[in-house]
Amino acid sequence: MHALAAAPMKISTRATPVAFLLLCLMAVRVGAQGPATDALADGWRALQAGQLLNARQSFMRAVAASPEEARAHEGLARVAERDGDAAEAIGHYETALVHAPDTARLHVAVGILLSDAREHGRAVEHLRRAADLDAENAATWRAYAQALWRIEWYPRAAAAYERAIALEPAEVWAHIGLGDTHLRAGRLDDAVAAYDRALERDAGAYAAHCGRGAALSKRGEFDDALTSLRQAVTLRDDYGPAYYEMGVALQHQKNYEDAIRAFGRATQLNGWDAPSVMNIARCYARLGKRGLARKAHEHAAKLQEAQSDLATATAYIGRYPTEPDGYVGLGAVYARMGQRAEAIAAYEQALERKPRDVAAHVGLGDLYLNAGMIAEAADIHRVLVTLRPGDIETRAMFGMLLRELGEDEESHAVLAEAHGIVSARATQSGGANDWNLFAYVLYAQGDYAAAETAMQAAIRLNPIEPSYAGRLSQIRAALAASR
Amino acid sequence: MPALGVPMPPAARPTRGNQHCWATAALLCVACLCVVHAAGADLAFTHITAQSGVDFRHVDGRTGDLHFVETIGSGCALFDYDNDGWLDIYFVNAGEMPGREGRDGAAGANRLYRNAGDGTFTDVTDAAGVGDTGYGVGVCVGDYDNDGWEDIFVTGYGASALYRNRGDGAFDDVTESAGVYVDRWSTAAAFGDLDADGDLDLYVARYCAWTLDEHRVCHEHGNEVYCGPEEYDGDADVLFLNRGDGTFEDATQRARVTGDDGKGLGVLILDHDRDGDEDIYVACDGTPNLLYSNLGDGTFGEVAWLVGTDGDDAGNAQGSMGVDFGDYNGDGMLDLVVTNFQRQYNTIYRNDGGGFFADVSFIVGLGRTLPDVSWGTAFFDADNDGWADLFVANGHIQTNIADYDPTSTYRQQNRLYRNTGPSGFVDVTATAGDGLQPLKAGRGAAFGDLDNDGDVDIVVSNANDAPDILRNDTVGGSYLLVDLVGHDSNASGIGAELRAAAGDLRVVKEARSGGSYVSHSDLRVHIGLGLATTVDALEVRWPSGIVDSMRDVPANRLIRVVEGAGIRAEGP
Repeated sequence: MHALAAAPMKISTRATPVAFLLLCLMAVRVGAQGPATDALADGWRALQAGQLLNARQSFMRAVAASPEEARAHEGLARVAERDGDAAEAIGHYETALVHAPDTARLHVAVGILLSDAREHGRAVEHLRRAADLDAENAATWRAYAQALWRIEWYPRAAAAYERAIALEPAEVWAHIGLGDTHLRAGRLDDAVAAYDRALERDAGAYAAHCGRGAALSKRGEFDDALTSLRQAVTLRDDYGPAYYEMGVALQHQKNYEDAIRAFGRATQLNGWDAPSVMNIARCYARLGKRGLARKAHEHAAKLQEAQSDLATATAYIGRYPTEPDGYVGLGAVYARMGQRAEAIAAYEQALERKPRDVAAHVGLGDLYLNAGMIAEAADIHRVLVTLRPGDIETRAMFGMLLRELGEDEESHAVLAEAHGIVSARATQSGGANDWNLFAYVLYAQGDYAAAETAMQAAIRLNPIEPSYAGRLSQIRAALAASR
Repeated sequence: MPALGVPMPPAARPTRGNQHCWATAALLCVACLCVVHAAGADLAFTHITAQSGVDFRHVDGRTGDLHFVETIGSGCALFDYDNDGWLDIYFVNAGEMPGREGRDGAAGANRLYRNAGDGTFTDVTDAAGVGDTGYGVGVCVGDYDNDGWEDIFVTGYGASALYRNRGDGAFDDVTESAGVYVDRWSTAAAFGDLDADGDLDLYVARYCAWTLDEHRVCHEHGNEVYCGPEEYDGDADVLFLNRGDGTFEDATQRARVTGDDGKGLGVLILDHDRDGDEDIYVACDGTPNLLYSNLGDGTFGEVAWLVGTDGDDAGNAQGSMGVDFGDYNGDGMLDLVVTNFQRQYNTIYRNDGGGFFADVSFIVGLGRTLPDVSWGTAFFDADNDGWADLFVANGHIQTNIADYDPTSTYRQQNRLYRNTGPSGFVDVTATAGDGLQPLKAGRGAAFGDLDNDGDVDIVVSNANDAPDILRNDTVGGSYLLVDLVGHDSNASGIGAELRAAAGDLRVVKEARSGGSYVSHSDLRVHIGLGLATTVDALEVRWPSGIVDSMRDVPANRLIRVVEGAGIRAEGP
């Protein structure tokens, strides 16, 4: 049930932002008076209009005027949340809660963000408090239930879902959440019953059909499972979890060709779907196609590793939201998976927290280089040279990038400076790596003959370094081409 | 507890054949059988540690510093060290933390208890010379020198030990001379004839590359906790090939079974694809399980991912500990069970033939094992009805788990699952006697007929606690207990496959060393026979390829089968 684990339900507190903002505006009108009031009202209006910068400035004015005004801190949190900066939002919500500790909606909001950030323990504490404060609110109980589900406290999650259902029996997602909870706990009969109740209320609930199919498949009732799963994808053709479960059921039926097609569709819809790729490998193995199986298995292993690293980075961010390291890690994972936009966003988040962070610059520089974004890469390397003045490779790369951009004069100067530093090092210490770097600079300068000599010196000093031979070949190829 | 060889009255239990014929059976009879089978009220395990004379207590040296090595407990072995026909018990102990100044090794010595045959045991450790004082973890047994006396191999943190049974009630520590010293952190081990030369080789799993210098404490929800395997690298396993002269050679690299990336805690030597040679399965904690398929040329290929036994049904590695191989569904093919960490169900891999397996854990009713941290395990026929039931020893590793996880506890209940045949396994723990009710931090578990009454008893080694000796008092069906004596094959008969037919009943078993979690069970092969009073056909396929076929073997007794000669003795 990996796929259902990704999104078992929607949390309705997020589904009604306009109504929520109106409520906040009304609260401002009837609440605080004085210098902060106008700023607060301006802030909420700007937020409602999507003017995040204005909203931020207004809320900051409100905080300055009245530091203990919880709604001002809450406003900043909402702005940060809309801006995609969950870590900052959590900080503002927690400040707001210092001043208004019994505000259920604040506990819900921060609880959901903490749960997303895999700070499960803190998330559960906030949401439990919210449920205590607002015990008749079904949405709060659903949010609490989902956090319990994520921390894998299934009996408590089931109880919270049941409470939500008692308060709001028509809410389909609560029934689906309860079904998912029973499914994960291995209570298959209870899961099927919960999904059935969801479908009684909304026959078009594709997630309920999917969950029902998954539960039936785990009971070994594959034909019925496939019927439910096909219904799910009929209702929503791009619902990946249903394709995964179809693959599982088909695999149990030893229908490996169709299982591969189902898992393949799941991976089309979610490129990170390691379980589907792993099962494609297993299907190929059963079909005797070992080469394809091995290839799929290797790909799945890479996806698993990336997901593990992603989880680690996310957890790190949740725990240390003001540090850049988690975002650097996140950027590295996205870059590895070819998700450039997400990687750039992550590195930029890191630089917001520490503008001169070396690792973020290196990651961003590599990303731009690999994408052929020369101007952007040059800008990053310009900063990197100041951050790591002794790093010869950075200087040489910067020089080459400038040359690519037609900035010949500056390129020449940068490379000449690198040459001066590294030639002194190489001739003084005589270390293999110094000669290797010297060769690199000479290569960047286009002096291929001298680069060859320097590289040969590096190889004489360290004949077993595996990368040197390849570099010598590269230099010789450039030399031959230049002649 | 009737003496061995005395025929037992078969109880009114359904055989597998009966179940298949229920549809055509008389209605009244069917109703009776259904009541008996579904109720599960007659599975009964009685806690007899106190009256057994076994005063062993496991100690793991915990000081509150939360050393990782303290978490995994130790195993135990059931074997007949003095060839008197009664199973003896060997407990591995850990002791104080290695490397600590002033360490008192004697406080954590292993102990051997001799079975007096009257329900009591006597500590014979000192006379036998097997009181290893290292930080012990696991044990396996096999007659590596083919002299007719079972020998002991002990794993542990810092060192291993091979005890050669002299046959006079004492053992010699031959670790160095035999060349089987394993340093660092070895866990599970098993003997098996991996090169098919008639003597027993030895596979030893290593866990993590943890040292006292690298000790650190982890945190969960603000609580200090033991760090888990994810904090440390895995360590390489070791394969020793028996030269046949009392010494072994390290063939790990040559055979390509390094297990470098694995964090091994469970080892089975088994023939997963029935191609006649022995393969190796390693249950790993947090890394994919490994299945080394014997390529027949002295090398092995890792195929767990290929055949579907590397992790759960989504291909995720689990925190695997214990392992066993048995035919739970009566299709004549041996299936795998692997026990796992909390929130990871215990996995049943159904053997689909051709070397392939399918994860059917939920289908057979094991999907609800999520709250448990599971260790020792075995498929065994608790009620002699011909169906393999399942025992799982449980216990968390974090002593303070309840402080931050309200769904779990440190001490947990062991579980017994009754095999209902087509309906899969049903948890009958609550009704299976007082032996199943205590909450403990279970780890190793070994299985065997301690009192020679024809059913399988259980010994559980608990972390930092006294063990549980659970006498099987179930009023069950008929049985046959088979003691194997190899001739061309290894003397222990390890690796032999037994197939029995009794009426409609078909049972397949393998004799093996090690298994479960860092433990070793009775080498005699136990076969539950339901209502049958005679085994119509019994076939023993030895590792040498020799097949002994026997007809019309009376039930409810112990028989000794000698390779190439068939039944040569009955009774103890």
